[in-house]
Amino acid sequence: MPAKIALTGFVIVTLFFITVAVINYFILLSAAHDFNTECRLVLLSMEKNGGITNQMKTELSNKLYNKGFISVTVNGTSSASFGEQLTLSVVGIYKYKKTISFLQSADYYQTMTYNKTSVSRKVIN
Amino acid sequence: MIFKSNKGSAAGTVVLFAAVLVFVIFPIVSVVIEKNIMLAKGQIIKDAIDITNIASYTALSSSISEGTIGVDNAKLYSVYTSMLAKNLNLNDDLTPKQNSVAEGPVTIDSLIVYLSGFPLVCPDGNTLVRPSVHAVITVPVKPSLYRQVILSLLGKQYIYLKIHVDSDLPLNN
Repeated sequence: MPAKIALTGFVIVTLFFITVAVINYFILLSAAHDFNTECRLVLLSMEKNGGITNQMKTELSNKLYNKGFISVTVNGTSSASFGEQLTLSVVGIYKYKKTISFLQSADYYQTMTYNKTSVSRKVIN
Repeated sequence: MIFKSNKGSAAGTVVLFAAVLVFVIFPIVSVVIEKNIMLAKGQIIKDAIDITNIASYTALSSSISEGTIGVDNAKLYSVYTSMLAKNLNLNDDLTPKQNSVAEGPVTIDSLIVYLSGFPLVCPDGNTLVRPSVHAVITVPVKPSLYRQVILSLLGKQYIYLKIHVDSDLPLNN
């Protein structure tokens, strides 16, 4: 009987451990998705406005900090006229917990980068 | 006798649990995670193709005297290839650079610019009502976890993600 109780306990702990590990993994995937979405929205604004402003950089950084990023660097073309290429380069470091062994987790840091080039649609007369 | 039977039962349960863990739970978790990684990669590629599609409007040529808009096909392909290479981190011949989401040479299967005759249906079945670019790009990616082992056993290296994106062209700025 004690063996069965111990076994049941072990099974429950193991399943809990697997569940936590999987959830941790999905948190990282979700952060990567959010990172790409926010950067894409800024690139769309850049296409329309012909570049990135300091205000847009600050807004993007703040949004990413609010999503759990601990460091964000935003660089982009500040002025491009109609038909010229513009680039947005964002590097973010995301802090998350990763299960490293049975009932043990540690802080990990994942660097995410967004580096895309588009074409300005702003007509400057 | 009863005591022996109970001990055997406990040992059997341990073996059964281990088997369920290795042959059922781990593969299912692995497939779910793998599927999500592929979806994330697919989304990144889709975004890159969308940006490239929109940028290809620079290959349009307009004739003000005739009031028509046409496509310079050579320029279109050149602009498209160059933008796709930049956005997917590829070399000029569309082979991947380091840290590219693509793991092998990328191919442009279809690239069509639609400027008139709307509404119409693109080769992959989407209805287009505005001037648009239709693109189908194949990107080889490598799976991880269990699927990589299965692919290796099948003698294959990559999974080919065929991404179809139709993007509206920004003709009226």
